[in-house]
Amino acid sequence: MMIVIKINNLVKFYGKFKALDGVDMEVAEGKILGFIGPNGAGKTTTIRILLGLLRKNGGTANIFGKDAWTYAADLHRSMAYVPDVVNLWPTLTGGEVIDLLGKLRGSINHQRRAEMLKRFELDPTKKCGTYSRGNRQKVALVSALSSEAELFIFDEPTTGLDPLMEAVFKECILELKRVGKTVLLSSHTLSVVEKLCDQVSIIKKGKIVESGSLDELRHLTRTSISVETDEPIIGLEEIKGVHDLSMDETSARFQVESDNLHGVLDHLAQFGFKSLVSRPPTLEELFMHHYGEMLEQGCKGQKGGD
Amino acid sequence: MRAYTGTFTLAILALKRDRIRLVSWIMGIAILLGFMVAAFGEMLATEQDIINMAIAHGSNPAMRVFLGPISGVSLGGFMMFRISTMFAVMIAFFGILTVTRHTRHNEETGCEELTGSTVVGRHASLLGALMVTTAGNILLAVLLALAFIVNGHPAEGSFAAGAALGAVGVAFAGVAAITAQLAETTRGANVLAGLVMGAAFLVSGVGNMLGHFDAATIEITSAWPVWLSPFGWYQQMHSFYQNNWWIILLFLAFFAICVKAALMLNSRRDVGMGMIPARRGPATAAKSLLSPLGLAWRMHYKLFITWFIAVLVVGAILGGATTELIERMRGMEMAEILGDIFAMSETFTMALVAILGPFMVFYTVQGFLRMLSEESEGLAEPVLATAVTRLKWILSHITCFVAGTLAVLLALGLGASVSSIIDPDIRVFKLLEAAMIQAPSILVLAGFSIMIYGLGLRWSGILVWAALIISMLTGPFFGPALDLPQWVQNISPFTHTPSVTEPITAAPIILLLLIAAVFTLVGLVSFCRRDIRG
Repeated sequence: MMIVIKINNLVKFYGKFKALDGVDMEVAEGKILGFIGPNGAGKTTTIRILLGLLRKNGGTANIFGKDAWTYAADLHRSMAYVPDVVNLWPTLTGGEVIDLLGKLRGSINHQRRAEMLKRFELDPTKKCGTYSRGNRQKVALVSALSSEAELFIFDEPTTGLDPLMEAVFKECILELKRVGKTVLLSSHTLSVVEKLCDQVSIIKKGKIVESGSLDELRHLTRTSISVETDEPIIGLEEIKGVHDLSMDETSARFQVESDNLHGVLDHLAQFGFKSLVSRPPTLEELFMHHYGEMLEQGCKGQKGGD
Repeated sequence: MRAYTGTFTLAILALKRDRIRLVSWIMGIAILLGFMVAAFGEMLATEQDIINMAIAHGSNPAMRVFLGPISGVSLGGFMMFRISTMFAVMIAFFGILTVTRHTRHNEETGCEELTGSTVVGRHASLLGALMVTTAGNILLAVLLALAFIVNGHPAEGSFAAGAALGAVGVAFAGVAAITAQLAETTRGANVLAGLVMGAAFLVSGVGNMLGHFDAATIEITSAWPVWLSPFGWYQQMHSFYQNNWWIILLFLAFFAICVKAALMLNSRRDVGMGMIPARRGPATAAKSLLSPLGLAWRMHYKLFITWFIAVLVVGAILGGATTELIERMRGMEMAEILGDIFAMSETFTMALVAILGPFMVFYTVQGFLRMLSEESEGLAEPVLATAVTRLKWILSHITCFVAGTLAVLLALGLGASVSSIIDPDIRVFKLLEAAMIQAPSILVLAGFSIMIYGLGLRWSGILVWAALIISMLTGPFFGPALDLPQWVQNISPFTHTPSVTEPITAAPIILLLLIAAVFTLVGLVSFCRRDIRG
């Protein structure tokens, strides 16, 4: 399988501030990578280096095997990009901008353009200066989605969209996936990432702290369990890996580290299951795991993942 | 909470935000006036010089469109006649830009919502902006009066002149307060107010043109249209002569009506919305837009066309006035002083073109600032994220403002060619030559700005303006009048422009073009290597 994005030990300074401190990333053809992290962690910087808008200070950033800076204009023929803050020419209409960016990119599919305008309910005759933030985002989305690009980069594409439009966006991404396109999706809306992405990379202070498929990541954290038994439960609190326990006689709610799941279930089985609900950690819990707990624990020994 | 709550706080905020900008505007205008009064004072040493010049300019109805009325023989009165309109226009711009900046621009950027959600009334932002602008104009009026006084002009006349000009700024602040409610964008509000200003200028100009010049008393009696325009009002104060202070009341009444109207409009609209709905446009793009150059042209063409037409008209009026002017100048003392220039009307017209030519650099810089704002407003990024190379992007913009500069220079020459219709001895190509020979030195400044931009320095815009002003002040227009040492004058590229009254030598032209090319090259190379601002 072809590797579309390959970033190795990427470093970027803004003056003395080290914005990227050795970022690694790999996205294979046809995959959707969720790129998450808090504000200022380096997501947009990474993306802008991939677009050749910023010059890297170290490491490599390749797209389709070519250097993202040197071959920027060439590579952009097969790339479509939606920035986090969409700035548009106030005197041009939405329709004009869509056509313009399509033409400058090299390709526009007129049938898809019409379809996307309809699906996103965008009026292309309005001047961009009068669009709301969400509508400006729609212009950029329609332009990107009606292109013939192979790689799509979305930086926070859903922040200005209402839930209905967010749903339309999700559909569109799944359609891209179906036809084998590659997507890099940076987002705070973790539910979107969780639903769409094959892989997730979590960035923190300019470093990737976690990456892999969602399933892989889940192993690194805890599963929530809520259980009811026939007989009173005893001894649960002494089992390794059990956290946040709250219990009555015959029912318990707790979280358990994935490695200890087996032992816990064995232990519980002796009391006879009446009901058992186990829920894998959500992406949000994963995220909080890295940004909440890790801070509390002073980042000790939690650097699993790669 | 009342509608005015927080006005003072917001005014202070505006002052803090704008302290450098306000001081630059006010000091810049006052210092420029001081210099010009001094320069004219030196040139028109005797009363007879003033009379000669006043007759030469005042008796020409075409010239009167661009000048004030004259009243009596005094250097101060002559300044109000000859150069005050230029200052009135600048001050009107100052009033307009300051008001829209602190009202509509804040709404556009969303700052208004932020402040509006705190303890401030709905009119606070507008009133705060007007407060700052009025205060700025009062300060300006005092400084303008001082500019006259330090040059030895009578105090009452000086203060009347300062107040008259400052009042123009206040009047157009009032106009901008209304247009800021009407339009939805800052640019729109500025354009609307600018149109009102243009019309007002024309109305008072026509009033002066239709007026009567009395050569015996050196007095222009303006026709009634001047009373319809703030530009007419300030002129009718007849500073340094009658000092009609009561006209200030006219300004105050006008300002009060404008503010009242603006407040009424302000209470009837939503934050961020205008009164004039933005027009819709085409749903698909025309072919001409679909290239980097097409896009750049769309960003530049309004500015270009405005300049092209304005320069053409100004050129034509000057060209038309030339022949008559020369007739009157012949045999006068002035003509003898200035020597051969007046010997031939062709040479004289060429000299006029050569004086105006360097000012076309203002178009160049405005065009350059368009390019600058494309990047700072985040509009370079979407284009550079497509298959457009950086070189192609920047060259599209450079093409627009450099070709535009050449076209505007050509317009100056073409406009002035109207004189050849009146006087067949004047050859059109000589006038075009006089205009185009100004290009190399303008291109040096264009190259300089491209270099500054390419290097991505933080204060690019201000640096470029500074370079322009320094080049102007050390150039032939001011340098010799200010008696600057030759090495200082040599800083300005305009000093090196070949004189149109002598045979043209190639060396300085080649040198200027070479410097422009080197600057441009450094700019292009740096631009292709630096980070793009997002």
